[in-house]
Amino acid sequence: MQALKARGRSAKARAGAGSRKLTRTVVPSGRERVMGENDLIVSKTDLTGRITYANDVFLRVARLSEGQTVGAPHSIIRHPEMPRAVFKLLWETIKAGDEIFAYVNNLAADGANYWVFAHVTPSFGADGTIIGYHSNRRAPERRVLPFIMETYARLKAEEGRHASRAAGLNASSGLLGDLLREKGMPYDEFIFSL
Amino acid sequence: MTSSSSLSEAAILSGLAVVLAGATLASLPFGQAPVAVAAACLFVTVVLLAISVRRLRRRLVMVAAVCERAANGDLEARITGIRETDALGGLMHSINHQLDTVDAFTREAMATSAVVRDGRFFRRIMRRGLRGGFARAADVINEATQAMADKFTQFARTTDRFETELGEAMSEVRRAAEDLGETADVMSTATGDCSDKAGRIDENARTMNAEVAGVAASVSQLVASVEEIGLQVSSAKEITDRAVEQSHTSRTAVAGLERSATQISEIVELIREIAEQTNLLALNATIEAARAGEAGKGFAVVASEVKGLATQSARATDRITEQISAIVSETDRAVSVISGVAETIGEMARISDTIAHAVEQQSTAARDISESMAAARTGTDNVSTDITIIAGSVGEAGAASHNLRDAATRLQSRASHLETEIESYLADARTL
Repeated sequence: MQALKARGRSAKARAGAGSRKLTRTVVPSGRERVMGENDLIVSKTDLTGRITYANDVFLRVARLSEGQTVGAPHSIIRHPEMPRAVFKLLWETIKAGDEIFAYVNNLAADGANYWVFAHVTPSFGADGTIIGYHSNRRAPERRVLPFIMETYARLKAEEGRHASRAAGLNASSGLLGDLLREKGMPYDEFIFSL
Repeated sequence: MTSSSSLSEAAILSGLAVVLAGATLASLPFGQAPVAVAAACLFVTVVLLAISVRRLRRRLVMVAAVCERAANGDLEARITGIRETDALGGLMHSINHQLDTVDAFTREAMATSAVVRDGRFFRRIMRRGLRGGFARAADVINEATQAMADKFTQFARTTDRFETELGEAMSEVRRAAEDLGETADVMSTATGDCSDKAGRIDENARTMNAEVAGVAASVSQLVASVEEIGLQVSSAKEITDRAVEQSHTSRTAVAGLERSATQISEIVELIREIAEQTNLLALNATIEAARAGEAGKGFAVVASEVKGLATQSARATDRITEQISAIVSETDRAVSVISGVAETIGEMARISDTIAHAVEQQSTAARDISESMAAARTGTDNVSTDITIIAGSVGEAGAASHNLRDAATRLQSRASHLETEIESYLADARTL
């Protein structure tokens, strides 16, 4: 905790600049923070994914201040174990104007990780264009997590197996596509079927 | 003076004002100076309060603007940069919390409804994070979605069953209509053939009728002819009978002739014997004449004459014998011929008997034929009548088969139309 605090301080300073990820400065402690049954983590971003609003639950769970959060990219809380294919799918989906649900493992500033069931939706302006994105995060179904962890580990391993990041991401996305084909349903139905 | 830019600031300022007011009251018996100090403190307090109230108003205006945006449906509005940790800060967080909840509920309700709108039912409003009325509303919407999903599933199942069963029924109807059409065609062809055949039968019956009438007339003529033949045969028999009798008479006559020829032959034999003896006598006379010499010379001449006569007689008898032989021979032939004629006539008589018998039978047969012909005529008349009735019925059947064909075609067309309608209905139903 002492080491984390020191790192956390520098992380806070850098995150405040609005460009760094916690994972560059915080070492995951392996300690999991479990969301409360009725907790609702809320954040809003602009079109580029920079946070414009984070509610008090977000700040409390991520152990961040509003100053550190607003203006920072949403990937600030990305956990190193998360496969990039999931975020690729997430961004493709919401940029197309659709909603997406995803199980996401996040990293808090104190090194703890917290699993969320994220619901990301575009926010539409009066003229119907996308003006930003909104994410509600709820406590995930605990019984689904082992399957999610195993799947994410496979995707992550696939991403690490290739020389270039792009090739790794492609292969990982392909693997996710294969999994869905195997289940015989689109992603949105699949995630709800869990 | 009850509000401040923050409640804690207001509390502090209020305390300060009380302390200053107490100090002012305590210092009053010692002269004018404490009054001036108290007045200065009060002034500072009032100034600080005024500043605090201005800040508070600015924050409240900002909060009001956020609330106003939210009230107008802009759920992106949030209060950021909350530094206050007091009741005002609490109020701001509460407003954000309220907006987060409304925002979450609205997004959930919208997304769930959108999925339902697109005909999918897997999505439910996420119940977590919603409390009280929001949770109850979420439950009701989720129940509604579930009910729709159930109804949709049931509808899909019903549609499937409908499609399967109706599809089968329709193909049966179509097959039946096709069969019906084919049957109508077969029937139409058959009635056409039947009509043709009935026409031909009618024609044949008329021809037959005419022919039967002709035959009947011919048979009548035949009967007459046969009767005529019978008469002729009878008269022929009489003639042959007479011929037989005459041939018998001829034979008797010829036999008499034969007998006469035989008697003539006997007489001729006698004459020849006489001639031979005469010749011998003449020879003897010649010899004797020769012995008598000259005296006998005349005698010799006579003898020679006699000899010549005898020779002539002999020669004549020879000719007579020859002729009688010829007569006998001719008579024999005549007898033979007459016997043959008699035999032939007998044969003819027998044939005539046979003919007469046959003619009698023919006559009987001809009469029978005549009667049969009359019956046949009645029969062909009946055939004609019946065929006319049959032709009428066949015509009706033909018309009926045409109607049936039309009905089958209409049925096929209706079935196809119905099938198209059902397909279109099912296609529509599946997009629901």
